[in-house]
Amino acid sequence: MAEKLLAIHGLHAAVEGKEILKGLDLEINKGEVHVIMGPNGSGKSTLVNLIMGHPKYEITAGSIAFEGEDITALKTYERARNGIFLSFQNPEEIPGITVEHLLRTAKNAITGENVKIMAFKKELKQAMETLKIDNTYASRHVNVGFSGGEKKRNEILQMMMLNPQLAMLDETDSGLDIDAVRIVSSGVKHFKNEQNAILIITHNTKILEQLDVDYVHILMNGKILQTGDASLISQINENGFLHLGGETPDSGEVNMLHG
Amino acid sequence: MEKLQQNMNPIPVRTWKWLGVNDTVLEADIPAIAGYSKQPVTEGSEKGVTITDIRLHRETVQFMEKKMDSGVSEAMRDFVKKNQNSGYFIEIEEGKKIGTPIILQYDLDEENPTLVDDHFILAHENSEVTIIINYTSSCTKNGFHSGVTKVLAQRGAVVHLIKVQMMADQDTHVDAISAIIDESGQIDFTLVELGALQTITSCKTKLVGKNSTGTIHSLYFGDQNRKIDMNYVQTHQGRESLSSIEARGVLLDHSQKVFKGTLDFIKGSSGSKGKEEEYTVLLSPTVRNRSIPLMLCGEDAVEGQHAVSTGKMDENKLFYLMSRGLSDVEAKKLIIEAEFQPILNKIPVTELRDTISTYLRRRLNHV
Repeated sequence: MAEKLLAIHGLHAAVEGKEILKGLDLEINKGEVHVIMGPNGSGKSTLVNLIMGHPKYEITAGSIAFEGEDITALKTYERARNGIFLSFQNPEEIPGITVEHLLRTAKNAITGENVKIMAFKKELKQAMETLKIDNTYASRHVNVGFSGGEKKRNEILQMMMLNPQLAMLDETDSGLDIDAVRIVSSGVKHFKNEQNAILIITHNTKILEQLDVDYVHILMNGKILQTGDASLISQINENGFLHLGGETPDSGEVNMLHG
Repeated sequence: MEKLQQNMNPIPVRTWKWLGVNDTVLEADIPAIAGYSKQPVTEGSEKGVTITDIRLHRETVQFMEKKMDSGVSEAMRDFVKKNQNSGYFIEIEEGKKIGTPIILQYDLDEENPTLVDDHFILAHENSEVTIIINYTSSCTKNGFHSGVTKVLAQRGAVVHLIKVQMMADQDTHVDAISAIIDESGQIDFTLVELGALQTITSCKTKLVGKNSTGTIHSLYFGDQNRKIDMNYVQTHQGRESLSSIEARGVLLDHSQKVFKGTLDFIKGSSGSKGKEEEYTVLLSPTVRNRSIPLMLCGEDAVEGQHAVSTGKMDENKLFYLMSRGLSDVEAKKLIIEAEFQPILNKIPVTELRDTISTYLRRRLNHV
């Protein structure tokens, strides 16, 4: 039987008093790839930020358990140390700190021990080669002056180096050209194994081409409206979300998938 | 209280009294000044440089310093002249480019708890030099430092003066820099104020020559009950002169800071440009943070910019770093280090940069 990694039940959440999630249920087992699709404003980013513990989001009801432990009271860094990772939709710039410095500091924090420098450098070099990242990249300041594609590749680089149990990718493919999406996708494929799981938020199915998607969830109006297998992606691509009949987030306007 | 301790670091144009920024009071009693017996010059034997006791050059110095600003106050300047227990005349020959930084290391201890230093740096035409003066202290009682450093960059000379202060928590640090830059000359100051209970510093540059350039990069860190008072002035006299002041700092606990930054465009300084920028990160609601950016224009055809901003830690940046496993303290430390890094990178000696980073990390442990 598959080992349960993440279990969310009856989750209600609000941002600045406005309810965004309205009773969401989701379970993810080890070895699975889940995709969440939904119109803009449906609560997708809210969900992954909540799982990561962003202080701006408030849980008003329900629970989030990771490996059987309720994590709703845990701080963000404790969740990260437990094995949860978020690839940000808009990664932050940290002037003055290099990619390598951040990665080493983060790896020390997550493993709880000082990583050996030579072994770390070797691992970093390999991960950068997989993502077709130039050697000079490691000594650049985190996300400062990075193109959109470089920022997203940096997120995947961090994911590969920190090796989490649950990796959540929040529109990691948005704003990337087709080659960059393929590179990111191959990085994700490289990372994936039977002991971890991936939750992908996307509008662009190109990132999924190299992955075996187990479940696709349609998130609308703060709830999972429908769950299916990978075939649901093509249905959405053809028909959009409107035919599913959920309420739209604002004034009935629906943002169609980009393809 | 002695007259000497009052009216220090006056702002060039006085403002409302209730703001409490017009001038500063030195709070500690000035101790009896004994000798300073250590040898501070650790590096600086390269050809083209002479480093000698300043007292051997009294007449030369007096002639040149007449045009210079008096520093934190005239009374303190006179006090330094009278009580000086260390000081060097550093002269760079014309056209000589000195590759290795000259380092003066002052370390106060139980046997040398007081330092009054007086320096004069004379960079002859088209010479280049980097000078580092580092003040540390292991005093368990009240260490005291007061000093004056004067710099003259002649035509085409380039001077980088780095002053680092990491004195003990109960110490007093009063430091004044006055400088003159001739035509096409350049003086860059990197000023790092991290220690001492009370710090009063000034850095006043006169950009006398056409195309002269003066920059000040300052970094400060206030915690506990520390008080920091900085008074920087860039006075443009020469045409097409360029200046900048950049100050960055972090305040927490009950620390207090006053930053006075002045760009003064004197009549005749047409085509000159100056900018000043200050950014303070506030980590406690109990800090007192005051900034007074001043721009004085006696000349129309000049460009001046100033920006002062304060902020709390960026919540999204903290979240980003915490999502990578860093605790809130570790994330804050990393952001502060990152904030300081561009200014620390201006110090060309790796060992000193590492010493400062280690010192800062230790101090940041209770953020």
